[in-house]
Amino acid sequence: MQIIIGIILVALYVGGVVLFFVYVAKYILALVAFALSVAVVVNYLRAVGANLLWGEGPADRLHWREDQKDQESAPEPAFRQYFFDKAYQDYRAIVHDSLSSNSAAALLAIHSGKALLTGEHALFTWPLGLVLFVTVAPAAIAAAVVYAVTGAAHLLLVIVLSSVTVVLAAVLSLLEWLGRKIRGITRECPHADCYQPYRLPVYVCPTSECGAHHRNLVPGEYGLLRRRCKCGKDLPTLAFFGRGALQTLCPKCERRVVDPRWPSVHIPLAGGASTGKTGFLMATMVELNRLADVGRIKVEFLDPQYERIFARSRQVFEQGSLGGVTKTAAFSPDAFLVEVSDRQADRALVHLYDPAGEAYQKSDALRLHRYFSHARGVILVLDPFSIPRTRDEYERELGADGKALRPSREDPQAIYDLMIANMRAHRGTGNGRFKVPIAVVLTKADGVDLHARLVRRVREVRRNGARGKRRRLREHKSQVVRDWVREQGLDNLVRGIENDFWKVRYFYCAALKKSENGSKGPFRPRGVLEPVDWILEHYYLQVLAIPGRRETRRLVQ
Amino acid sequence: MTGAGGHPPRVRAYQKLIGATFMLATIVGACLVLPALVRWAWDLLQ
Repeated sequence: MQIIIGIILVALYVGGVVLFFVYVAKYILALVAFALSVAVVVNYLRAVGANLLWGEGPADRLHWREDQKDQESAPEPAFRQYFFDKAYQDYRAIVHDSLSSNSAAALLAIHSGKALLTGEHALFTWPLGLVLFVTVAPAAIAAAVVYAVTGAAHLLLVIVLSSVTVVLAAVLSLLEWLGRKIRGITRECPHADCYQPYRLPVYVCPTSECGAHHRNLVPGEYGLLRRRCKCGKDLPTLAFFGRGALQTLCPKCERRVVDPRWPSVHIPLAGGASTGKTGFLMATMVELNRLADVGRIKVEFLDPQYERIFARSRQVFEQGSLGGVTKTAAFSPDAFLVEVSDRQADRALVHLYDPAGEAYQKSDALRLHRYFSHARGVILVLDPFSIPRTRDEYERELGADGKALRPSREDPQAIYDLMIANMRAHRGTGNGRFKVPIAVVLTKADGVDLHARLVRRVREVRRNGARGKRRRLREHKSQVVRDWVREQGLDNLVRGIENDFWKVRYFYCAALKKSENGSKGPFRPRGVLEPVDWILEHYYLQVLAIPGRRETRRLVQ
Repeated sequence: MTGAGGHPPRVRAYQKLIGATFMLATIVGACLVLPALVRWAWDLLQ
């Protein structure tokens, strides 16, 4: 009987095992594969939550190093924009964390299978254990596929958002570049011995203990609208958001520069020693400011050093004495910068260069004056008493007042020849004509009766011809000065200038003219703004414009 | 300006954007795919 019962039990056991393997095992396999796949997805989502939602993922890192070479291609002292670095760090952390959880789940399955095979109830549970062991491999493959798909989808999402960021950065950069191009804004160093054009200045972090140099502060890998400096300070990447308020340095010479918001107009003053360039420059600044005081234009000094120079000039002009003013010592000068805005709110950042006249004695010295390569106009300062015929004519007056007039001893033709050779060398124009305007300015005309004679001649010309508008008056003045210069024997100079430049105009001025009170009063300059105004007109700026009589001019490149 | 964990708010915003987008997409995707997958597996096993 016991044998029969034993045989029946064995048969039932074997039958149960067979039935289990035939009918149940495949469902267990599917269930385990499904459970592992779901576990993979859940683990991945838990890692996403832990790293991105309720956690912050790994700490952000700097690619910049303290000891790296300070150059444009080197990493910036800033944290990269999220999609350019940290998004991938977060991705790696999520993949790593979820993989650890998946390994734990796989190990749990293996341990469970082992326990079913070797435990107390192994006799009854071994088929389940066996199925688990057999199932783990295909289930793991299914889970791995799910894991790969999930990870790939996550990576794809990060890549898509990164690509959107790259495109946005490119669009923002392009828009800013276009804005600068359309408005004719260029960047050139105004400092002596540099004068080089540059793409972007070096922006300095305003945090006092940081002061990091950012060489490429534009929308890009470090931020779209802002970037985070290594000190944690947010810096704007676009001029529109206030990037111009940061301190800026020339990337070539590392000296302080102004980041222009408006077109830069570089105007060198050319002329020999003692031709009156510095007096002319000071008078120009004083007169520009006088126009600003009466609300005709706006003048802004973008750096305190220029404001100090201006204050000194104004003091000198109010005192009516050049006693404290020394002659320009710099062979290679820093530009004098002033932002000028006219009544129509057109603006320009005007750079005026006043090199020592001695620089025009040697071509070697002049070769350093690279600002001629981006000059938007030239003012050729001509001392009438440097012309032999005029000097002879006014010999008596010069003898009496020679010290005050300090006539230049330099040949205007030689000065001009050196200047033009230098300009051609820097601009690489060969023998072609320059499109930039040149103003030939006769200075010191008030020293003798020359100013009065020129004024009389202009009146005669206007009496004989038709009275025109203000512009016609300027043309008449120009014609009178041109004729006078030719009469003084500088016919070759006039011809040379007109062969070298398309736009030439002649002016006379009295930069240090005394007021009617005689020699004790302040200086009251006459005609100094006209040459500057004429040059600036070519760049849409009219400092002497009368309202309602505006004329549109083509921008000269 | 940084948050409690040392990351500025916009980094946290980007993280939450990716995290939430991914979670939502996965849950929606699972809801769409799983019934079809289960039906296919069931048919295969019958």
